[in-house]
Amino acid sequence: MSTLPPECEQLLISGYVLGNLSPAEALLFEEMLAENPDLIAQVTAMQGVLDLVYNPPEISPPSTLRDRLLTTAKTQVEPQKAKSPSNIPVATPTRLPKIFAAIALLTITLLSITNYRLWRFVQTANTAKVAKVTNQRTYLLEGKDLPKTVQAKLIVEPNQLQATLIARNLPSLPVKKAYALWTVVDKNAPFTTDEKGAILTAVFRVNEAGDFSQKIAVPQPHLQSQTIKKIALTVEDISAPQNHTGSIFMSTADW
Amino acid sequence: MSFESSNHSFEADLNQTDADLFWQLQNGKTDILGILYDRHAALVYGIACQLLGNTAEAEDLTQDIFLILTKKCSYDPKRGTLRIYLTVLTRSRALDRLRSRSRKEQKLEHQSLNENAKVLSDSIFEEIAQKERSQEVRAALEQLSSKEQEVLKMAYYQGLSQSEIANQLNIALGTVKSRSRRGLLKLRQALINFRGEF
Repeated sequence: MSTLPPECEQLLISGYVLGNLSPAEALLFEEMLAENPDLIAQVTAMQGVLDLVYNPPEISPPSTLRDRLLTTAKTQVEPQKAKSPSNIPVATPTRLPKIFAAIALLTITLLSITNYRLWRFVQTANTAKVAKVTNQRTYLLEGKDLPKTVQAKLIVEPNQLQATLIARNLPSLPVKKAYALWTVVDKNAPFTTDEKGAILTAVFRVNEAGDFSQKIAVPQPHLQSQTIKKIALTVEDISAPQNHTGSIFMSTADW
Repeated sequence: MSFESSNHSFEADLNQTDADLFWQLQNGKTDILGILYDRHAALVYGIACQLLGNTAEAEDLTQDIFLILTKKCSYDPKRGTLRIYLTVLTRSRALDRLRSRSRKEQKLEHQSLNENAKVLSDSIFEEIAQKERSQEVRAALEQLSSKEQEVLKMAYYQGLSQSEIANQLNIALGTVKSRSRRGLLKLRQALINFRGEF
């Protein structure tokens, strides 16, 4: 389980209440909510602040509006249901041959469409399979003077803005320290970074064996990997990893 | 025909989150709209009345807003609350109507649309803001930098999207997000300091 510092957590709640979470942040927030349902209370409190400062007084609309709305909503859905079997006119004997012909023609057409769709589906599935493999990007992190058994890699699925972070044999850290994974981007890239051009991507601690493995959300630059300069791992204070005071422990080479 | 006549349990629906209800609505369960309406109609109608100053037009807009929820719409429950979506959407659509009204009224005076809409909008925002804010809230707002206040006002009062704000202020999208989020956090902290809660 990744541990987000309280300030980051609060900023995510704030972003959710303001409705401006990115897809990756939304994924992270969803995970946080699943792990800690009590966060809902904080969302409500934050919503309360926004309401207090910016909301107009609420006014009950006339009672007739509700019925009008629901009737309109229903009539909008009705046309889709209109082609029910009961609406088909009853066939008379003189019209039967034509109707059978029409049914046969319709069946042939439907079968052709189904066949074509099936073919398209197979084509699309094959393409998607290839795309999934080719889009995946793996970053291997290395550290100076570290034994080869110390390994860290990030396998990114850019389209989903998800990644698997795997670390092996990393040194255990003091209680108040944690590893921080950074996505470092080009200075000219249009993303909000810290002073070192980095975006905090994950904060984690390893188990007793020095291992860690988990799916994480990755920030927007991973959609355009050419904007990423490097992926780096530092050791930070667990209470404020975003301060980014630690030096690089492992990283990819500059792109 | 009453929508309450369908088979599923409305008591169960009433306990569901907005997000759950929204997904069901998107999947064609139109009767769910009544529950979402009961939860948020006063908010939508309140904003519409306040901005449009005309109950008939406010009713019309309220209906439009809720009908949007029954179609394919841009709301994503994973990225924000339905309440904020409805708030921003209602303000945005109300302002579109005001701009349209303003355009018609001002056509003869040959003034530019943007200028008119901006003057109109700004005056409305300020008037509403002054009425709404208590001394405590004003003091909390003072804790924010002018840039943070500006971004929150544009997002919340003017119904602008994050990218529209970024374009207007000529700043990065990420900056808009971080400013608004930090602004809201500061507001909360300031109100906690004043009230001892939130």
